[in-house]
This record gives sequence, C-alpha cells and structure tokens, in this order.
Amino acid sequence: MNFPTTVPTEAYLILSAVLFGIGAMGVMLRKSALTMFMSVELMLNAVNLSFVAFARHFGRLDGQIIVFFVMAVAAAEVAVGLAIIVDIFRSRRSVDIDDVNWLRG
Amino acid sequence: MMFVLPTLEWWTIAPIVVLTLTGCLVLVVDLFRGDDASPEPLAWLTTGGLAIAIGTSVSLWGYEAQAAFSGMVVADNYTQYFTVLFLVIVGVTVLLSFDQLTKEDFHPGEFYSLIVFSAVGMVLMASAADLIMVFLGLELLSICLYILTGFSRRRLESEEASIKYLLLGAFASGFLLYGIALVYGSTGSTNLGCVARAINPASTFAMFGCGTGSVAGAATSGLLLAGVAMLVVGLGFKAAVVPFHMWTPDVYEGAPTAITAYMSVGAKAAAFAAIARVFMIAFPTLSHDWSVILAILAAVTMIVGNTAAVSQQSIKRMLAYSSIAHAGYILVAVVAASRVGMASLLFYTVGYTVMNLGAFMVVILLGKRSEDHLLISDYAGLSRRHPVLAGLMALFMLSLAGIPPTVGFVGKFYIFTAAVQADYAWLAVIGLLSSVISVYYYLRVVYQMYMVDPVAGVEAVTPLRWVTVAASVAGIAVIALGVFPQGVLALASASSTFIR
Repeated sequence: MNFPTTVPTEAYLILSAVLFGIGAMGVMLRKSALTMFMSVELMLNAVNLSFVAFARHFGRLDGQIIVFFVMAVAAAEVAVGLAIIVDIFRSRRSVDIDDVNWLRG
Repeated sequence: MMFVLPTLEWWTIAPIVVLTLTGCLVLVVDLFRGDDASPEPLAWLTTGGLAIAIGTSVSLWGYEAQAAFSGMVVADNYTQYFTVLFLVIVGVTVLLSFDQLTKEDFHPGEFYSLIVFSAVGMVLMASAADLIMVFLGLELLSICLYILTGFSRRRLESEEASIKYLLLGAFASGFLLYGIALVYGSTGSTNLGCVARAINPASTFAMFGCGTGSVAGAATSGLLLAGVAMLVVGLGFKAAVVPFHMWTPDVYEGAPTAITAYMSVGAKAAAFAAIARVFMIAFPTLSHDWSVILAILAAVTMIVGNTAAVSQQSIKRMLAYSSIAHAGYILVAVVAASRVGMASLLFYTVGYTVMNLGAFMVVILLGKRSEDHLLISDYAGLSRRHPVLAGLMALFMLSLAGIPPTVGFVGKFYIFTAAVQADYAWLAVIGLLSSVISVYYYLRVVYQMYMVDPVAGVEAVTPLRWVTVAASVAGIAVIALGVFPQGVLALASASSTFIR
C-alpha cells in the first residue's frame, strides 16, 4: 500500500530555493563571519536537496552521488574556514566582519 | 546482480597523478626535516615533480582519446595546452616565493604542497568533461588559495584578505553549484556532452563520453537558463569579472606578492579554461542567450577595470584592477564563440601570463622585505637606480597597455578580430576605447621611473639573481611572442579543434 499522496518534486525544489535564498540573505546581511559561514553551508545544503530531488525524479543515482562530493567539499571548506576565523579572532579579538577593515574596499 | 567495473585510463590523467604524488611527497619529506631547515630541497623536489608532470602532459599532446573515468575528464590538446601553462606558472611562483619563504618563516612543506594541490585543481578544471569535475577542480583550487592568501600570518592584511576571499569565494561556489543542480534538473545529466545533446539532439560531442543512449530529461528552458546564469556567476567570480570582482583588489593587495602573481594569472586562466569549455561544449545551441549576457559583462568589466585602475596608488591594487580589465578582454574571446575566438583566447592567456608575471617579478625584486615599496611613487627615478629593471618594467607596462610590437598588442588584435567576425564590432570598439584609458595608468609607472627624480630615503636593493633572470626571460618572451606569434598561435589553433 502506497501513501495516499506523494510529495511532488516541485515541493522539494521550492523548499530548496527558499533555503538557498535564506542562506544568500544571511551572507549578505549578517555581520559575524561565523554566521556568514553558516549561511554559506545552508546554501550548499539547499543545493544538495535539489540534487536529491532531481535524482529521485529521474529515478537515477548520479544526483545522489554528487551530494557525497558536495558534502566532502563543504567539510574541507569548513575546516579551512574555521581555522582562518580562529586566526582572525586571535589577532583581533572579534569575528565581526566590520572590524576587519585594514584594506580599503 | 552484476557490477560492471569502470575502466580506469590512468594514463589520461598522468599529469594529475604526478602532481598529487609530488604534493604528498613534499608533505612527507617535510616531516623528517628540522624546523629551521632550508626550504631549498623542498623547492627542488616540487620543481622536479612539476617537470615530470610537464613531460607527461607534453607526451599526451595529440592523444585525443575518449573522455576517461566514465566521462569525467578528457585529455585533448586543449587540456595539455592549459596544463603546461599552469605548471610553468606554478614553477615560476615557486621561484618567486623562495625569497619571501626564507625571510618570513613560512612553513615550506605546507606552502609547496598547497601550491601543487592548487595546480591539481587548475588542471582538473581544464580537463573537466563534467560539471561536477569543474566544481571539484574549482574548489580544490580555491581552498588551497584561501590558505595561501593568508600565509603571511604576521601581517593583518594577509589574514583579512584570506577571510574576505573565503567568505565571498564560498558564496560564489554556492551559486555555481546551484547552477549545476538546475542544469542537471533540466537536462538529466551533468556531463557536458550529454547536456549539449539534451538541449539539441543533433549535437554530437562523442569525445565527451555521452554514449548513444537516451538522456533522461527534456530541456525546459526557464530552469536551464537560470542554471546557466548561475554558472556565469560562479565561474565569473573566479575570473574576477565585473560585477563579481569586489574581492579582487583587497585580496590581491593583502596576499603575499608571489601568491598575488600566481592568482592573477593561474586562477584566472583556470577559470577561463572552464568557462570556455562549459559554454562551447554544453551550451552552444543557447549561444544567442548567453553571448549577449557575456558581451555586456565583458564591456562592463573592461570599462570598470580600466577606469578604477587610474586612481590607484598601490602597484598591487593597480595590477589587480588591470587584471580585471584583462579578464574583460579574454571574455570578449568567449563571446565570439568561434574557433578563431577560442584560439585567440588561448593565445591571449599565454601572452597575459608572460607580461603580468613579468610585472610582478619586478614588483617582487624591488620589495626589500617582500612587502614594501609597493606604491607607484616608490618607482620614482628607478631608471637611475636599476636601469635594467626599469627597462623591463617599462616593457611589461607597454605590453599590458597593448602597444606594438609586444605580445599584448598581438593578443588584443586577435581577440578583437574574432569579435568583429562574430558581429560584435561594438564590443571591439568598447575594448579599444577602454584600453586607451589603460595606457594612462600603465604609462604613469613608466613616467615615474624615467621622468621623476628618485625620492630620498628609498635605499637601493640588490636584486635577486634568479628572479632577475626570469624577468629578463619574460621580457624577451614579450617581444618574441609579439614579433613571431605564429608558433604559439599554431599550438592554440591545434588546441581548439574540439569546437566545430
């Protein structure tokens, strides 16, 4: 017996677009480097949701395999990013992006 | 259930294998060395690995096989052309960074392995036959560059450049990835050849490993165009195309000068290698849609880059804006979307590499402790202190401005010819007018060196011997490629045969 209704692919895609938008807004509006970084991770995971949704829609596996690659890349990015943020905090006692303004622009 | 093991054509990715092993070897060898040991053995080890990788890449010239690893990478002449270019750039960077490495206690093991791993990323971007490989190559390059940018930990600017590059770079790769997802959703594949076939069933890029089987999705235009637009954002960021260029001046100014030189030529060439491949293979049938967008971006990039460079006081910031303008010129070649355009792109990438690396070599030679004397006014009266260096710098500036008989002139000539042939005469006109602006700020450096009296208190520096030799070689190459462009141009045409 199947469930009475299945969630259509479009619903996943809309959710993914909304999450991606929230992530993008977070990067642009927040001031803390840590929050900005978390927003970037949200963007990447929103994209993962689209990949999985498309893969299920096509009945293929490649989209789901791509997600593993993306997760690995995101983990590497987190490792490097947090190291840089810790380094910034050690020298300036703040991770507020507005305090990081030695360079013009 | 039967599993069919995929065939692994290791020979196809031989340069990547050699580079990866070199990077790992450098890390392991570094473990057994004392903390204050000289970086020289590691530099030789890195250079040796690069030389072997260049050798394998050259021997793969003309190989032109099917895409290997289930349609993930392709080893055609285009790949080898860019591979050799990238590896020469890495070799020069190893040479340029050597002095700074000894002066500012950088850890040589990490520095050399990161720079080699970033080269793996660049080679992957040039050889990618699948959008996912483009993403992985770009991320491998970017993550290494984030660390390298922040390598002078003593300087706050370096740290700051690193965090800015990281946040904006990760933001842009989010867009690139979303673009890939939308393209996958609308075409049912991420393989460049399959994407092309899903959009237009008549297109055959058999080399790119899309078999003859049916492709899953039908190309729905709205989703697909949104995906293409996001790909432009993600790749344009790495190439520093306006309006995705905000990070460039700050990151170029803050990073160690050798890394700035590396980013300005290496990362940019890699981004264009990927842009050209993706747009020419996957979306040739959509070229009406994207070539207009890219043409507008190219025009804005050339105008903004050249006008913003005029008011800069720091030579590194000036070269940063100049590199943005040059990204605009290279983008014009992509807009032309023809085999001529592709050959001119390949030629200009080499020419730009030679002249820009040359200019950075002079900047490094004049910095006493690597990060001073970076104002344009510090070049006052250089012709009396270091006539050879001043002459070379003047040559590189003239070439960047595109004045004959240098490689900068020939390269621009080919690019604008390709644009006119593709009915983009207005773009060529904007390119020409904006490069007239560029003459002003390039010649300002020459004016400072030859017409202004030296400032008191700027003591003379003894130039490093090997970097001076390298700068002289670059100077000769700028003239030689400007007078005899045929050799490199023939290689460039042979590398662009994948476009019909």
